[in-house]
Amino acid sequence: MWKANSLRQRVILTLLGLLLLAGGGAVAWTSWAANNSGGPVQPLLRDFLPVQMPELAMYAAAIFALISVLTVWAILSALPQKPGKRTFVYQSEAGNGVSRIDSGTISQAAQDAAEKSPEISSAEIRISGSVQNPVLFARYTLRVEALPLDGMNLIREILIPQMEQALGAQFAQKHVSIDFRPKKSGPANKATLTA
Amino acid sequence: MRRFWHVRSARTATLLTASLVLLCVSVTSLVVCLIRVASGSWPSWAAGFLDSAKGTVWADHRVLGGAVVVAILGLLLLMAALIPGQRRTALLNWDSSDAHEEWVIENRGLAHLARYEAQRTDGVESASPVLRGRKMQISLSTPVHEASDISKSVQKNVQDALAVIPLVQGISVSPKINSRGGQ
Repeated sequence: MWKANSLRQRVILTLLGLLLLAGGGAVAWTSWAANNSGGPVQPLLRDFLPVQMPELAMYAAAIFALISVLTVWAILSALPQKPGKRTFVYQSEAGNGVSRIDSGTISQAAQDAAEKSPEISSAEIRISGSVQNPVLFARYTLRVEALPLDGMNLIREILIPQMEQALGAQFAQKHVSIDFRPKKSGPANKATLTA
Repeated sequence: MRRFWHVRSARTATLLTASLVLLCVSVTSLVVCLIRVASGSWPSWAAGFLDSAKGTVWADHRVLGGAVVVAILGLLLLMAALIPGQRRTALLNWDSSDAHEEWVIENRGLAHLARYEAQRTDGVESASPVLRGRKMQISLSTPVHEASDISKSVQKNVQDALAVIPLVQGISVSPKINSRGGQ
């Protein structure tokens, strides 16, 4: 269920790559040109840097602090995240009362219901969106020894409609992934010959 | 509809590694600069490096080498960002952007299903399926010496099992006997 912001990761990597490529390339070019000039007095690195400036350490500290903050932001914002849970608020028909339900509660109930069926090994469900337009994110892991289509039809025709019934609205978007869990070959499944 | 599952692989490990290295460098440099601002002198462990850097010329091979290494790292990061990456899922027929429904099956799951079906076939000791795009290659291990019939059975069993799944693009199965036992 975890998902990284792939586009953001690629944009950050592109910027970082361009920065390193440009910086490294510029220094390499200058160094190579100095190497080929062959003059009697070789220019020093410090000649091109403001090392005599008294506030150099302060400016450098500010730049490194900025780089550190940007790097921490890049790490945190690019980490994989789960779709957010929502609190759904339902108005009573008479209009004089409201009831609130956390979408995580419905998701948990749906997971439990799915895992009780013989075809499904495990389920991970998140419901996001709003009361009128709920959005489903689900991953079902089926048992390989069950008939695959039975499990898939169970999800499509029973489990998801049951969730929609509980929510009182059809999902505006459904994102469903199906996996198969390998059969464990433990000692109980091995045939043993005894004399 | 923005897809959630059927997406190309992300670059989390590359980005985290590059960011952590950059963070270590920037925090260390920040500490050095703050010590300089607070005490008026560079810390002793950094002073030696700074003294040696003072006399370094542009033509120094270490400068050229270091810059080339940094540029190559930049190029690698750029390539990692721009190379699209593989999808780890296959679309099902029920998938519809118009209906805002995304239905996928994981390639890993299809491989697990194929392994199970192959290993159920009589005469097969173990099976290792590898799914690349729309082709699934299954390496089979069997104690039977004449294995052509087993290969055909596995091909049929796995193909039948996959045919039941309503995939948008079919998968072709090719078994390969890679080890034989028996007398």
